[in-house]
Amino acid sequence: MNKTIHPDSVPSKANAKAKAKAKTNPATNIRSKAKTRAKAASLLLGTAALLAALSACASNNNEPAGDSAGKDAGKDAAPAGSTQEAAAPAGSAQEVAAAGFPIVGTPVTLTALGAKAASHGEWKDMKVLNEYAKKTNIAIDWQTVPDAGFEEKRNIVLSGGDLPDILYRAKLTPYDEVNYGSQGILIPLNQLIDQYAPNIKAMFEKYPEVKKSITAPDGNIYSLPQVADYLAPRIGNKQFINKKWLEKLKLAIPTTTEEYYRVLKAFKEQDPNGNGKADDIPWSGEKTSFNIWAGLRGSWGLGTTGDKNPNIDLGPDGKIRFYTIDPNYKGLLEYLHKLYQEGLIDNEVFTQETPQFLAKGTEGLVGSLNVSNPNVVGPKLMDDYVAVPALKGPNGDHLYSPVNPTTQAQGTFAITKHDKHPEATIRWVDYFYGEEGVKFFRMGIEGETYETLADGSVQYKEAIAKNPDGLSLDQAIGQYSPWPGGGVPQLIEEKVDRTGNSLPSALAAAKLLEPDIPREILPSFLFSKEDQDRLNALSGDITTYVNESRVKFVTGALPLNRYDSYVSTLKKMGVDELTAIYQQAYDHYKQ
Amino acid sequence: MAKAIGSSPPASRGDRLFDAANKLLLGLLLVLIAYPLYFVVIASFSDSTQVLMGHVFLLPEGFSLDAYARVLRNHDLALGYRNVLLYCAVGTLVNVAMTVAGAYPLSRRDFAGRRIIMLLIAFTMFFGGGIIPTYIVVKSLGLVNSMWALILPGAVSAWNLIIMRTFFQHAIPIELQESALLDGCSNIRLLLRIVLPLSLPVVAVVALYYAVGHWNSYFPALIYLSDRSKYPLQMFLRELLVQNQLQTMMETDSETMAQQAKVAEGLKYAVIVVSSLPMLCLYPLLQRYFVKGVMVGAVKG
Amino acid sequence: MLTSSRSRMAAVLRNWQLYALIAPVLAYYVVFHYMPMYGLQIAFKDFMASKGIGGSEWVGLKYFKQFFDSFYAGRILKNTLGLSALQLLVGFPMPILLALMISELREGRFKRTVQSVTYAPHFLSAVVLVGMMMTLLSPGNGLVGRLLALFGAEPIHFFGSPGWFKPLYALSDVWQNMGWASIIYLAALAGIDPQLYEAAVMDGAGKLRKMLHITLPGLVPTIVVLLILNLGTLMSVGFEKAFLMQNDLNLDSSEVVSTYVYKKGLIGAQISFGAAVGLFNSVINFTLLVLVNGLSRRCSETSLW
Repeated sequence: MNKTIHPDSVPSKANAKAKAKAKTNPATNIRSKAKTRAKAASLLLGTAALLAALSACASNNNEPAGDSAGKDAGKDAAPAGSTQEAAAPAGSAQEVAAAGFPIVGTPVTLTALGAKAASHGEWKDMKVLNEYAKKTNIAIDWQTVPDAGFEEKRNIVLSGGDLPDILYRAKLTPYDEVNYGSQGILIPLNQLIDQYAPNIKAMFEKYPEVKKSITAPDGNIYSLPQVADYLAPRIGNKQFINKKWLEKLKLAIPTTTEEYYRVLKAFKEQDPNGNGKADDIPWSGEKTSFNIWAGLRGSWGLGTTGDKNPNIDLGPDGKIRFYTIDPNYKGLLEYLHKLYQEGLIDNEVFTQETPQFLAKGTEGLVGSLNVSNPNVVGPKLMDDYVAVPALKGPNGDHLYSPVNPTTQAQGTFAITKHDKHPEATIRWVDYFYGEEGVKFFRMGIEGETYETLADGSVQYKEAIAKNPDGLSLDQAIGQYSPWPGGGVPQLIEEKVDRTGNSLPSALAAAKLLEPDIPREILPSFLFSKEDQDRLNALSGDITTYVNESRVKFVTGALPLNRYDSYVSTLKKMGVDELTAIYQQAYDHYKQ
Repeated sequence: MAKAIGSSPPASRGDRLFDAANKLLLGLLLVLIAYPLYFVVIASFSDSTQVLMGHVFLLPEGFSLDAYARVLRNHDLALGYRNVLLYCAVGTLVNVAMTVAGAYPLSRRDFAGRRIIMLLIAFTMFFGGGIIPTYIVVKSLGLVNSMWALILPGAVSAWNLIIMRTFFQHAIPIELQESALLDGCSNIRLLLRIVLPLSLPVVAVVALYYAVGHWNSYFPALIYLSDRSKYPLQMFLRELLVQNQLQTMMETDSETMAQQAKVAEGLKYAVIVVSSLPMLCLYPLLQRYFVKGVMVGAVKG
Repeated sequence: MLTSSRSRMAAVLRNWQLYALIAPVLAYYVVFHYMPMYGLQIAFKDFMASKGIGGSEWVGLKYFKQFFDSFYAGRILKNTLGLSALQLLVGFPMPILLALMISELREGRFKRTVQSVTYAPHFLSAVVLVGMMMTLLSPGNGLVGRLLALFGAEPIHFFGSPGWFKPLYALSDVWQNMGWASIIYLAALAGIDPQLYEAAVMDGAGKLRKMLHITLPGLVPTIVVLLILNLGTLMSVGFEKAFLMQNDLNLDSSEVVSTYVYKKGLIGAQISFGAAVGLFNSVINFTLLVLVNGLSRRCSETSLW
């Protein structure tokens, strides 16, 4: 097996840096005895030298390209930021109007990389974007990538390719922000916002938590968020129940978990859909989110800070708590296990995809579900469903936990160091955080996509709301503006939001839940590089273990008397360290 | 085979039994394999809720041509088809030429250095620099956003090269080659006039493998192409079908997600039918090369 | 010694056309495979985009440790190997069998139908395949559940039980790729000398004997080479299908290396971690390949190099 030595020697020689070493290493690695082996070695060696040379010139060729922005790579964030401030005025700041349009006197073109949702038309043909380009004198060369592969493409471009000026619908995770931000690839926006973004500044003043939520531990802001000024869109899943079934069985809308159990039981046993078959499914959902759990955890006093940080909330003592090892959590699991065992939870809920679940809903088989609004079950049945309030738990807790902070999505927009016109860029995006811009962005072109009613409110025209070609609202407006699919830099205002979230049923549900939403809703924290490093090692396995065990406890695959060993396993996996890291981030956030 | 049938004596009882058993088994297998395929076809003509509820068995339920209408109405589809046909044709040509050029010398025992070259090639099946360094090489060659970025980085597949080399080694009589060389035939002539004509079956298979690979590939396009008008079919199809299961529902409107999931569900069977038809038609065209013993027999006889 | 190297030189010169032929292929491997290979070091570094691969900081075996210290390392490795082995065990012989059976059919419509139909499933995407499996195997209203009910059997929750994951994965793979994989054997059959069959008929051999003594041995080189190649992928289970078939109930048997790395990557762009795991996989696979190849060279005289 003389060849087994090669796998080790070849990669080490291929290292561009180890050019000199490459000539000595293989010779020591390959203990050549036979003539043929010596020959093989010399051939390998020749190849290695060639490779080293080649890869060296590759990296030489490449460095200037990577640095085409003309700024030093690898600087710390702060200096990169100051370079930005110092260098910028010479180029573009003078030409940027402080207010009003156009933003720049001489036309400017920026390149942007963005994630195109399935419901979008081509961005370069979107009227909203094009009209805005005319208005601002800033043309944008949109490079879009389909949603599915966007992150891969973005990371490769940021790591090895030509940087665009802007990342739009950027899907940056907190980790990405800190990672690319601290490396100077994304520039800090604090000062730019201060000087050139009145709308964003006003938003920060109105919602100080938004500013806090997007400020990295180093004090910089590297990306802009999507913000919602009203509650309905921030509660992704609200609990709904079939009113027709309740009426038929002469039951009231449940207000406690015990009543909820009895209602589901009745749904199961008394054939509420009246087809004579026992096909009624009291509660159903889909596999990616077992959201009955999220909806109910507040009834056991868990999830007191919303939905952004899995398993983390604030305990009664005001300290960060890993709540899925709390004793109350066991009570919740017992309750859910009882529901599952008695067939009150669809037994396919852990395996089925969204369409399967929706098909059951559309067929009128589902009694209770957690969705953003019930029109997902189709126009025929959507009015059968009414909202359920936050249920009172066995200990008297009533809280509806899965609520997003005002900062609905982070990391939606960033400026790279390649951008020569950061001032103009921030002014460009600032528009979408102000009233006029939001209306334009969400509603489109007056007279073409929407109309203003007598009372001053707006509504989509038929072409959008009831598209003759059978396009959904999202797809129809998605030909004009890139907001469908979410995750874009914008301030969603109730006045100009005309989606499922603003349907009466959704608004009613939000109103019903409003008194019981968490008092303090935490954003996804931005961690320092070191903390994030630890989290990367810890949190994946822990989250998997928690989710997997939850499902097993509920189905009974893991009996509840194993709860203590579940807790001690999590302790061994480092839950305490994880909690401490979050505590630190929380303290920082509160400062 | 035809020759064998003509000259063989009447089949023995054992042979008839063998044939019957063989046909029976294959018939059974045919049903097992064909039913799910049939299911795909009827599902593509059915209402997606009916499919999901398990109401579709033998005939389409809630018959509709909606899905096909939607797929075909997509403007990008024709563009995607055109692009992928081009990439497929050019790419496969390059692939086959390069693979033959690599496989033939390596099949020759008198080709000095073949073992080390083979090892170096096999090594790349397992070890590579990853996406980023490859991207940098492609970029520095100026290939980004061109057709060649989809073709050159995968110009040879070690797997196919090994398959082809094995065929050259074992199916082409070595004596034939030696005598040709002794007659003063050059290596290139030998390859083009004798070896390749005798190797059509494996060339056909390898071409098919490459062609299908180009047809189904989307990742290089995702990474290297920024111009939408250059996207191959699969990029558009994936865009049509993608369901953002991974993103948390919370950041968008779950109505949007649900809508998209429904749309995708309704389309996926039709999309598969539309996109795989050309490749399904390719195979019968190549089948005639796979007749037992025909090639060698033809030369010797 | 001198003469041998001189005659070797002569052989090289005589075959210069062969070297010219292979030159572009070698150039291809150098440019597109060996030049980027400096990227392997990413596995031992903390990759920072702004510093590039060369400039990032060395961290030694940090990411290898992170993988092996992970709570799930044992389960992932076990599942990956188990799934691969099962797939090989079931999936490898079937295409050979199919090719042999097809080769015994007379030319005609039935033969062409069998070939085309068995080939077709290869073109289904993983999304469609898994979606169809879920629909047909749904315990409530799937076809299989109803057939089972017809025979009075309890419905089986195929996707919800860890025990079913591997068989489902392997069998659906056989269903999808059997015909596709048999093509190469059908092509290899074309290379078998017909005179061998004629001679066997003279000796009065029946069809079964011809198949076992002529056809099968004729396929052996191809079989051996493909077996070696397949053993060299033992540590790699494709991502997409496993991921789509996965749910919290069957993770115990469905979490494999590729899906695990993918999920890790979701938390952060963990390029270095992914590279480390990938490198580990490759080392195992390559070692296996080298071992099996050596073994095969000794036993069957067929080998990759």
